[in-house]
Amino acid sequence: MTTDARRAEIRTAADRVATVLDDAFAWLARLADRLRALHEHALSEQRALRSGELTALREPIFARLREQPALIAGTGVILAEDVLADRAHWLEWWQNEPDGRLTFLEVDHNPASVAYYDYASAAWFALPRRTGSRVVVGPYVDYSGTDEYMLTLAHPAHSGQRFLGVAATDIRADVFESLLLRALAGTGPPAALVNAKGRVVASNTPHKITGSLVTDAELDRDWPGVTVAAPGAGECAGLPWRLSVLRG
Amino acid sequence: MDGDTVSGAARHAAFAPLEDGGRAEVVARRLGEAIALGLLADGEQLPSEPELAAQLRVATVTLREALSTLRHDGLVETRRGRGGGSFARSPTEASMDRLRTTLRELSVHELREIADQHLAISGVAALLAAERADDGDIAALHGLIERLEAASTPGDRRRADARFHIEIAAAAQSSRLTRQEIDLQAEVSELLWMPSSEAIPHREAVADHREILRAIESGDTALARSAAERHVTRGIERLIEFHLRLASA
Repeated sequence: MTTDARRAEIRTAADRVATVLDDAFAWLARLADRLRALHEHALSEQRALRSGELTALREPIFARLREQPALIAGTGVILAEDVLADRAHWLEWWQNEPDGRLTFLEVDHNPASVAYYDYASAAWFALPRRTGSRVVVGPYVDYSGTDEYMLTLAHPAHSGQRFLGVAATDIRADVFESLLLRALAGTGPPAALVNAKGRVVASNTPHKITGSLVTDAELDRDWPGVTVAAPGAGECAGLPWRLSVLRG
Repeated sequence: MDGDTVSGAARHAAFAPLEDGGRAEVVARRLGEAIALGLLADGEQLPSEPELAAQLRVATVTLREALSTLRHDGLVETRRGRGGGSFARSPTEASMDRLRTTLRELSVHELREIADQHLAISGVAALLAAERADDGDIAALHGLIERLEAASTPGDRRRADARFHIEIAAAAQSSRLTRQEIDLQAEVSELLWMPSSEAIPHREAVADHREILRAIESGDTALARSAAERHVTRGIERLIEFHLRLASA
């Protein structure tokens, strides 16, 4: 394969990754907007939203999960503590099960409990709240939620200046691996998709596998990496990623 | 309970001469553990101060300091006047009876099985974390050490300690090691942090965690592994020691 052909191949692979991120964030923006609409509707009746009313989000959530059962492990909204009338700690979150069922994620809402699901301190909640920006977190071991190796994408939901919570999606890290492998010929140079912290999201080489860290010295300088930047408008923490060729 | 009824091997062990230094802290720990484990029964009268100091081979002033610590922790009550003296007071935590029973009924073999698995999981998790932890992971681990240092109740200490070890496995980027570490912590963390009979004293546990994190932070895989293994072994060895004391009481 010529050098130009390989460059094109790497560019195509990076574009595929960018498409997945674009699509995920576009959907999250719509979900965040639905949450805002529910909140503002309740406000127009001079009351606060109740957790039961979030069931209105189920239809679009289910459709989204069924659309991409392999890619999306779960999706939904996670609420700030002062939004719902009846709950200070709540999430409307659904998961794709391996057998095709959709299940509601039950978590421990009691702050005194050992297993308390402390989402307020999770980066995918705390960062959008603090900065107003979207975020990509991971890959990381999601031990308080799904037990899987995961990427979490989150989009803040606001009503005016008020932070309502986040709309988020869990994406299985191994899906990026298959995306990348389908786009890069196995005979090509060793390449790795690396996140902003230098961690491999996916690679086509056994020497630098998903989850390991890559230093600049390990990159092949003759192959400038291709940037996978923030999709759509506005800031996105955790990006850019880079698809880089590694030294042989 | 009458002060004379509980005695035997357990009592003997609690009051045996101290070899590991005559510090008040050591004396307080020895007696505190015996009371927390129920080897000295609730209400049991301790020997007089001169007598107990002689048995433990420590200075009376050291013993007094230790008793003062135990009084502060609510493990000893001192009454003055006729019929007075120092009396053991069992910790009031509801979980203590259950934990004592669990620890008594576990066999040395079972404890060793737990230790073997824990060594494999925690050792390799620390090794891989030294290779794979990023700045965010390191910051989270530092935060958990601070949380353990600041924790004052057995529950808070147990949670901060368990969370530190689970976070190391997560920093190793391994879902499987993390799941196993969670299961192991669920199995032993309550026993490791029993009220007034901590397997590894709080301050030393914090120091152990610092040592493990230093190795992870500097990317020293071998040192991270051995530091984690030492820490696990230390905790379980103490649990085996507690078990043997309970089983022979």
